[in-house]
Formats: sequence, C-alpha cells, structure tokens
Amino acid sequence: MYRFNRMKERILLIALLGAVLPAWGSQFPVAGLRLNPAFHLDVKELQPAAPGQGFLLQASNPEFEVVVKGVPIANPKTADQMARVTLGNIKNLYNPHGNPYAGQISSLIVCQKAFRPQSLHIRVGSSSREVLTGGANSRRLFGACTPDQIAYWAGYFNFYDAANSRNVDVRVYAKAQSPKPGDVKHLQKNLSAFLEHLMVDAKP
Amino acid sequence: MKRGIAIRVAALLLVCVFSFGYVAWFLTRPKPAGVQDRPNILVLSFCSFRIQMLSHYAGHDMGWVPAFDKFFANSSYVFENAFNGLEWEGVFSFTRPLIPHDLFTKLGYHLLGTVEAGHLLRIPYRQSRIDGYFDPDVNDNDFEKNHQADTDYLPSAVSSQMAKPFFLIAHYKYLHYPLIDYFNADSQWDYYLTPAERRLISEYLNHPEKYPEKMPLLMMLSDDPRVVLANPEVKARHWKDTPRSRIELMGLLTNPHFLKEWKDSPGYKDDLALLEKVYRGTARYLDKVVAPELNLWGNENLRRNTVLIVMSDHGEMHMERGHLTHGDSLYDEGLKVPVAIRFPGASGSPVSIKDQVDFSTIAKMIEGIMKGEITKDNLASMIPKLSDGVVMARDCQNDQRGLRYKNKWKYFVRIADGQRFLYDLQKDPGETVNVADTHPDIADKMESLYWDHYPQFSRLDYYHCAPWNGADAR
Repeated sequence: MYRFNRMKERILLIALLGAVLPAWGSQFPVAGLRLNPAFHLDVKELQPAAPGQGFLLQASNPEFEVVVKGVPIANPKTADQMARVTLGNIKNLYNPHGNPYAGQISSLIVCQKAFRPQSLHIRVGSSSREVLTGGANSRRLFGACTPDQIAYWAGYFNFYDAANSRNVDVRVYAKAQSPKPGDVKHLQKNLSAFLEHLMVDAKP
Repeated sequence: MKRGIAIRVAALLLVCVFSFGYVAWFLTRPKPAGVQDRPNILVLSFCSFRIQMLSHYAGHDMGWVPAFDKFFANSSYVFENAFNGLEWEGVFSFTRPLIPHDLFTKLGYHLLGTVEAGHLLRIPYRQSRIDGYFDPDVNDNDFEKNHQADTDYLPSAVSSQMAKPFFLIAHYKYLHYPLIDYFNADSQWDYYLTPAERRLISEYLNHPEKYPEKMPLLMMLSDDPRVVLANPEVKARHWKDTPRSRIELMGLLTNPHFLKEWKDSPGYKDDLALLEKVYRGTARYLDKVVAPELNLWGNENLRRNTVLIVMSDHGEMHMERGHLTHGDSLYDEGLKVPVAIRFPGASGSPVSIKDQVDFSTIAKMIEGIMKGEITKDNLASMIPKLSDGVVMARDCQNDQRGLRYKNKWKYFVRIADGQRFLYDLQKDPGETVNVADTHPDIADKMESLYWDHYPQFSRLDYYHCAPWNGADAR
C-alpha cells in the first residue's frame, strides 16, 4: 500500500514539474501537445510522421509503456465515428462472448469483479476524453480479466488531431503481473495519474 | 307493372354490361412493363460449403460433388474471386436491405420466400428477421420433417408460379456442423471411412471422457452436449442446462486453447483425415439431394426462364492456420466462396469473372437482372460497375476487422492490441508475410477506406454475433 501511494505521489510531482520543463527534443506529431517530459519517456519513432500520413511511436520509462498511433482521416465526422467505435470495440473485449461462433464460453471469461474495466475522463488539449482502463495480457492484448491472464494494467483513449487530420490512438501499459484483487485499486490510481498528465501543452 | 319489369331488365342489363366490362378490363389491363420477359430468379445458397470441394476451383476433376461440378461447368459465369467478409451472413442478409421490397411488386415478381432447407443444425434457427422474403411455414430446419417439407416445397412452389416470375433463396445447412447426419439413413456420411476409422469415431463418441483433447473434432462431428461436458475443464467451470448455455457451448469450437490441445494430441493428423472424410461424405449426400434442384427438376418451362445462382455463404476452415469452422478468421480461406450463375440457354464454357465481388455486389447483380439491365450478354461488363473494390470483413466476436481491396490488398486490425496486418495478395496470395510495417502508407489508406465504408455495413444484422459499435450502427 505504502509503495503504491508513494508511486502515485511521485507521478504527480513529476507531472507538475513536466509542465514547466522544456519540450522533448523531437517534435511530437500532434498539434499543440507533447508528451510530458517529466516522465522521462524514451521515445522511438517507428513510423515518422509526414504531412497527410500516419505515424507510430513508442515511449517507455521503467514503469510505463506508451504506444501512440496516428491515422490520417480527412473527414472529422468519420474520425468521430472511428473514435467511438474503436473505444466501444475495446470495451466489448471484456464482455461475455456468448455466441455460436465465439472463441470462449461466457462463464470462462466473465470478468472477476475486481478486474472489470473502468472508465475515466482526462483532458487532452482543450477537450475531455474517455479513457478505458483494464487488464492486458503478456502480449499486451486488452481483454484480460483474470489474475492469471493479466500482465499489465492498461489504458486506452483516442482523439482527433484536426490540424493534422489524424485520429490519434493511445495505449498505455503499466506492469502488473498476476495482480491480486486488492492491488487493482492502486494500479488504477497510478495509471490514472500517469494518463491524466501524459500529454501537456506544447508550449509550457 | 310492365314499366317496372322493363326498368328491372334494363338495370340487370346495365349490371351485366358493367360486370362484363370490368372482367374484360381486368383481364386485359396493362401489366408492369416486361413482366412476361422477366426471368425467375432462384438462388441456392449452401452453408459452410468449402470451395476446395469443387473441381472448377481445384483446377482438376475431383468428382466429389458431381452435380455441383456439372453445374459449374455448364453455367454462364463463374466468379473466381467472390468473398463474404461477414462470415455469419448469407446472401439473403444483403438482398433484404439492398433490394427495396416494393421493387419486387413494381417489377411483377412473386416472392416465394427464403427457405431454410437442411436438417443438421439442431439449434432452433428461425429466420423471421428476413421479413418480406419469409414464409413462416417453411423456415425450421431442426427436424427431419421440416427439412422434408422444405425440400418438397421447392419444386411445387416454383412450378406453381408460371403466371409471373418468382424470386426465391433457398439456404441449405447440410454442411454446417455437426457433420454426422443422424436423421437420414441413406446419408452415408461415413461413405469414405474405412472400417477401422468407423470404429475409431464410434469409440470417440461413445467415450468422450477418454479423449477430452479431441473435443473440437467431436463437436464438429456431433453437437451432443455430452461430448463437451466430458471435458473436465469445461465440466468444472461451466454448465447450465438452458438453451442459451447450449448455444454458448458451441463457442468452444473456435476456442484457441482447446484447438491447440487437439492439435498437440496424438493422432491429430488422422483426426483431420477423419474430419475431411466425414465432411466429404456429407457433401456427397448433399450433392445427391440437390442434383434435381441444380437441374431445375428437369422442368423445361423453368429451364427456359429461370436464372439460377449457386453459391456458398462463407468459407469453412478445417484447421488451416489453426482455425476451425467459420466466423473467426479473416484470411481468404474463411471468406472465399464459390459462386456461379446460369442464364437460360447456357450450354457450357462459362466465362470467368475475375473481379473481386462481395455479397452486396451479388445483391446488386440480382437487382439488375430483375430490372432487365443485366443479361446473359452483358454481365461481365456490368460487374465492375457494381463494386467499388472493397469487401468489408469482420469476425463474429468483433475481435478483428478490416477489408479486402481489389484483389490487391488484405488488411485487418486485431482490436485487442491494435496490431495491423497487411498482405500483398498479388505477390503473396497465401497471406503469409505481414507488410503493414513496411507499407504503413497503404495500411493507413486501407484504414481510412474501412471507416468510409463502416456506416453502410454496420447496419447489417449481427444476429448471434457481437454487436457493431458506435451510434451509427443499428
């Protein structure tokens, strides 16, 4: 408990510092935003951004891994649908799969109460975005909800970068190997604190 | 007195003249233009029919389903690249929303219904969603009597509709699991098995508790719940004796964990051979049963004015890439379907249509034939105008989604981690090398195309599968 609370305090302190630190050297390819430098994320650009094209970057520090994917979508209405549907699809992974062609029988994958996914809202730039948090397995697949399956406590959100006409998809993973039900509250607090401060204004 | 009689006679005469005139008008009234020339349209749809069964697609004579082979060899057109990206849907799921219901009336068509003709699916399976094309008297296929009614219904229904053209889709579920036919003594599902193989299947099914790792195979052969409950892992964690629970148990067929256990078990290769032989035996029986339909019952009137379309509803996996049955793979083995069309007067040497088509293209083609815009002579040139080259694809659980694009690219996303898969179908038709990382621009383009098409497809019924998401979905 003590360890978890200290971690959350550290994340908050670091986050506040980050808001006044200079920007990360490489340009974050989302208009008006940057990754919080206080988290000292080691960033790898797997697909560099170019005008009218997508991008993919991975960032990590000893506690968190972040994957940010940008997909060019010209029409904001289409982008809005994509954002809503993708979030809904990920939520759906935690639902019982009870259909004739389903991969598992429902009672085998109904989430234990403690490991059910949760929703929160964070500020991204000027807008509020819904974040889904829940278990992910060792292959970083969302939808894990039993202790033996869970290797990460993970978060997902998305938003539209209108200036660059891209839908931006963010996945965050915090290590959580086979957590006990009592651990989830703290995992969730730490992840929430990280998510809330992950993206800050590009100009401090 | 005489005056009264005269008035009555005059009135009677007037009534007679009016009635005669009405009858004459009724018989000679103008009919919708071209009704007499419009062809009947009969679609025979075969659930879970593997394209590998047909000599045409194999490229050599196999003789497993001779009546089908004959139809394909004598059809007008064969579609070489037809796909259904939504493996739980049949063509009727596309004709219903895409062909306006009142168009049938306007064009003078009589809707004979969508018929479920098959007896092997023992889960109650009603098609009442197919309103408009639905005949409530002939829709159940879970018992032999109903199957018999369906099969008998077809020739009598189509033969009695000579006054105006008809539209009918018959959907046969013979090859849908379970593959062992318990209802027809003459089915010979074990036709290709050796005596030793027959004994082995009997041993498996009588003592499933001794072979828990064979559960997926035994479910394909027989949907007996005892087979599933004999698996200690299932028994320990699941069983409520309710219809819903029974349906959920079918989900174990595609469970990767149980499929891997089977794959790793001793005798797996022999098991696969058993599966293939039972499937082939059941297909042989199907071929025998539908041979008269494929020949339009030898009815010359029907042959002169009926367009016959023969197709499958989706692919069927026999452990290709570790997948079994259908609904959870977006690779071509799961999506590709045989389709052939025979216009009246066809006499062999079918034209190959190489364009990529999906069921919405087929639905539009049917509409074009009804309207007289698509004929035996112009179909090949019309098909490219009916398709935009995108086949939308999604699995039943909604774990993967993507599209197939102009026979050039296959693209899909695994929703759980956002992993993208992109295959260059021309260089890599077997879909073995994922080039999403080396062609991110193409992957982005495919992603954008997917979302452009999403609103249209998310309105299709998801039936027993996971729902579509988003406010624009139904």
